Amino acid sequence: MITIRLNSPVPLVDQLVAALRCSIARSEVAPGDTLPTVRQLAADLGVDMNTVSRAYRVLATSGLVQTTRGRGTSVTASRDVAPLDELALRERLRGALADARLAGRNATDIRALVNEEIQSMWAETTTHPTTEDLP
Amino acid sequence: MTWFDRLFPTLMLLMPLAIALGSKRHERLSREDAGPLMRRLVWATLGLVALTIGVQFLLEATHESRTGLRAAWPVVMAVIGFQFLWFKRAVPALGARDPGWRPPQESPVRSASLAPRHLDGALPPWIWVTSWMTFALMVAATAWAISEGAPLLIALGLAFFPGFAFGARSSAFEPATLDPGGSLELQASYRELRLAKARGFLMLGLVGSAVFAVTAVFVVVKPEYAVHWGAYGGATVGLLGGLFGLMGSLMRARANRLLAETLDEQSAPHA
Repeated sequence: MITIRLNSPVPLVDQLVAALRCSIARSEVAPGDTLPTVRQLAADLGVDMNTVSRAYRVLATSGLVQTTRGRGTSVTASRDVAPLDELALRERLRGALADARLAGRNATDIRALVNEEIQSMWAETTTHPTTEDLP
Repeated sequence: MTWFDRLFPTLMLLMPLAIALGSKRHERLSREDAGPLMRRLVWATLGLVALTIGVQFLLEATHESRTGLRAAWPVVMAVIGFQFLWFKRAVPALGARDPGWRPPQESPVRSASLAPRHLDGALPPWIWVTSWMTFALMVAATAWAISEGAPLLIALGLAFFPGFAFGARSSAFEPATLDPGGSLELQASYRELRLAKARGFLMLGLVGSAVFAVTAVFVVVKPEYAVHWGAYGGATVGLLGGLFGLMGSLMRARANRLLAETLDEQSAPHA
């Protein structure tokens, strides 16, 4: 399941890409799983179909999903994604931390936030509920 | 049929009030203004029932045969009166008592399931194939009956199925507003609604078209049965449609109520 905020300053496409990346990283959707159609996701989230379409394209460019005509968009195997070395990872973290400090957040708050996100990202996860899982 | 002309519109007009009175007041999420809305519903129902029955007796006294205005009046009141009482009076009153009858709450936080609905089996291919093959048989039977002298107009009834098939397909994919926590109960409730609506639409389309196809065949084979079959078949389709609509409304209300309750629980400050 993914969640976005319509009143967030972060553009909807970026939120959607981040949410979908998280779901893939947490194995909520496994390699080979088909994602919802653009129309379904747009209708459920109450956003424009172009927004979802653009998010799927961004994910396809980074190799996380692939769109096949007539079969929809599916999650690719995670090994297909370009490896992220420590230097690149540090740069991204540093960028996010710099944004936080510029926004006036203190280190304690950020440390708690990062810990929370780490726990959430590496928590025991299952794939999205199938019809058998539903009560 | 005089008893039917008096009873049918009365029952239809009383139904919104019966549903409203039968609904439970939600413990946490009901609104204070339910009382005046319920009173407006009661007065409007009593007024319309009195008007319908009064005019009906007047028409029976002044028109000997059951034709024209005398025949149309009960049907018109059952349809228009019901629509007014249900949508303008009962739904607001129900909405005040129970969040299930209100439109889903608009929230800036939007959640969606990543399970593709076209794979959840609401309308698997075998259902489509069987339905369209059955419809093709009806078309063939109607075409034969028309070639043997049945009125051409009867073929219009076959439009039932394609129209309802479109509704079935739309229902199988209709949006599901989820809570940020992704309640499984809510997801199950939406799925039940989708299944019931999609299959109900398809079934109603098939039954509707079948009534016309069989009527067309009766016109040729057993003309003396055709009128009765048409009348009873039409009434059955109407009844099934009404029950289907009511069931859909109740299931939709359940999903809306679950969503409202879940959002309310999630927004409540933690102790």
